[in-house]
Amino acid sequence: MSRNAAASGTLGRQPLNRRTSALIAAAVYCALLAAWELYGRAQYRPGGVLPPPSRILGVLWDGRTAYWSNTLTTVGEAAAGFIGGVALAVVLALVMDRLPLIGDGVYRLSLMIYSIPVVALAPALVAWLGLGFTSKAAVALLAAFFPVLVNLTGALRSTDRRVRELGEVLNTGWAGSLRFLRLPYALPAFAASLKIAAPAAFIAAMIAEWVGADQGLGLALLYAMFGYQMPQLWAALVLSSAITGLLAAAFGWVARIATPWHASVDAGSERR
Amino acid sequence: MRMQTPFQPGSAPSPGEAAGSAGDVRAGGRADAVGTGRRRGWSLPGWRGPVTSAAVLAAALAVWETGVRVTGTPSYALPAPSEIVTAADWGAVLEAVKSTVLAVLGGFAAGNAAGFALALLISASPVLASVLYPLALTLRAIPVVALAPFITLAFGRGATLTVVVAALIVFFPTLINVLLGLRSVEREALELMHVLNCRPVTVYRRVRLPAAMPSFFDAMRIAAPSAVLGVMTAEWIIGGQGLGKLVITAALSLETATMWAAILASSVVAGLLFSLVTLAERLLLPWAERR
Repeated sequence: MSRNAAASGTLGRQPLNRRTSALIAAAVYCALLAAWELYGRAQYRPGGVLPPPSRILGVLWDGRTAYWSNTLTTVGEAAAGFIGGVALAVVLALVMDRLPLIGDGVYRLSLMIYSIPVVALAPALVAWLGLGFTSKAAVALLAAFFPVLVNLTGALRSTDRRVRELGEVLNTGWAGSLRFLRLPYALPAFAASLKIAAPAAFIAAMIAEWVGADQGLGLALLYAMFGYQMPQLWAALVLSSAITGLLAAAFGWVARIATPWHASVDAGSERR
Repeated sequence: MRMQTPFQPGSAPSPGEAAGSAGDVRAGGRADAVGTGRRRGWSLPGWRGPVTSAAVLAAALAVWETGVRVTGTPSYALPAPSEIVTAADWGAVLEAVKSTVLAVLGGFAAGNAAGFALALLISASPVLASVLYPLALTLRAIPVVALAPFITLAFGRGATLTVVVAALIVFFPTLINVLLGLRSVEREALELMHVLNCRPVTVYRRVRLPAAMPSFFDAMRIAAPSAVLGVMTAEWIIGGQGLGKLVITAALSLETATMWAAILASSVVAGLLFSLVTLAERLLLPWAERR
């Protein structure tokens, strides 16, 4: 990005330097927030679409204990599902790698299942596992499982020929080649898949709560809707967006730290 | 396309076979990494891809069928595939597919158009870029599906509003990928355009837009299944008569055969959209490098 920006700079239009662009952005955002605040105060009615930001923050602060416990519930469901899903995916990816013939079939099958909208299974899982923690964790597990499985298996299968040949020359055997050559090679794809899987697990847990739950952020969203309480709805949305954003950012950072040798770890591009 | 002899256990790759299979692989379709260098052990040439997939699917269905029969699982918990075929209300499923597909396609068109247009604007104007790009990155964190209650409160209920969810889901990956694509131009190409004294419009037409196309298709490939999922989930809250609605009503009335039929139909729709994008990419961008 920077190289290309610099490139376009030498050719005609001068791009703005970082400080100027940050200043412009900050100014515009402040103006927008102020306008929103003023508009919200002038036009305020309980069901209004744009409650003033101060009011949204007030709702968050006043209901902090309830929002905190609801958030913890959903994050807990998502975390359990995420850990389980990633662990299962890694184990299965390694098994598929060890047994190429079976692995090939399972890989194709998982690609097919990957296109099943996981959350569509939520009603089935809630009917089966009940309204509690387990059903939501199961949906989150499925949501986290497939991106990791497909990405990791794909990366293990598409190892660079030169890497493979090096393994053959060094006569490493399956375990050695996996440990020293192919896993490091697949690590960036694995890290990128975690960045997809973590927010996906959280969103899946939240959406699964719509089908049936006794607490959680998803439920808070629904209750705010049923009660025509726009500020509460905004508060729950702000919270859930903050969490998904933080999850993506955190795992992006982990990916950068864990795979420093990989230049394109986080070009920001979205790839499957 | 060079024919390979299938199934040569443990054969070492012979010279001249090194890079040969990359071309045949593509017949295998989606994200298919078979043949990017032959593995030791079983090798599967590309033309066998669809055949293998079909065989695997058949095997999986057979396992499912026998598993349900052997364990005697009641059909309300998990119906066998044969039960799904015979007991499901396929008329309702087809109606639902129509409704969902319309919403997804509408959202797909709107979201892609908006995302592409905004990406062009941002890449053309440094001032706009400094304001809109951080905003876009911030907004991307919003779980679009979770906006369904908000859309319901703000605009009411109705099938047409599920299109908004699909459009928003498609919008962000397209915006960000196209933007990165527009920027990922080789410096030499830009310098050449500069030397040739080309107008900015020409630079976009000849260099930047072609460079952005592959990542645009990447974005669409990701967004297609997500859009199906988004519309289905939005239907629970916003209303509409699509697959999502059918899944939940069938689940609540314990018509599990119809519920599974709807779930399978949704995965077929998502898979078809994915394949359509891939096919379009192959037809429109024959020059692009395939991963």
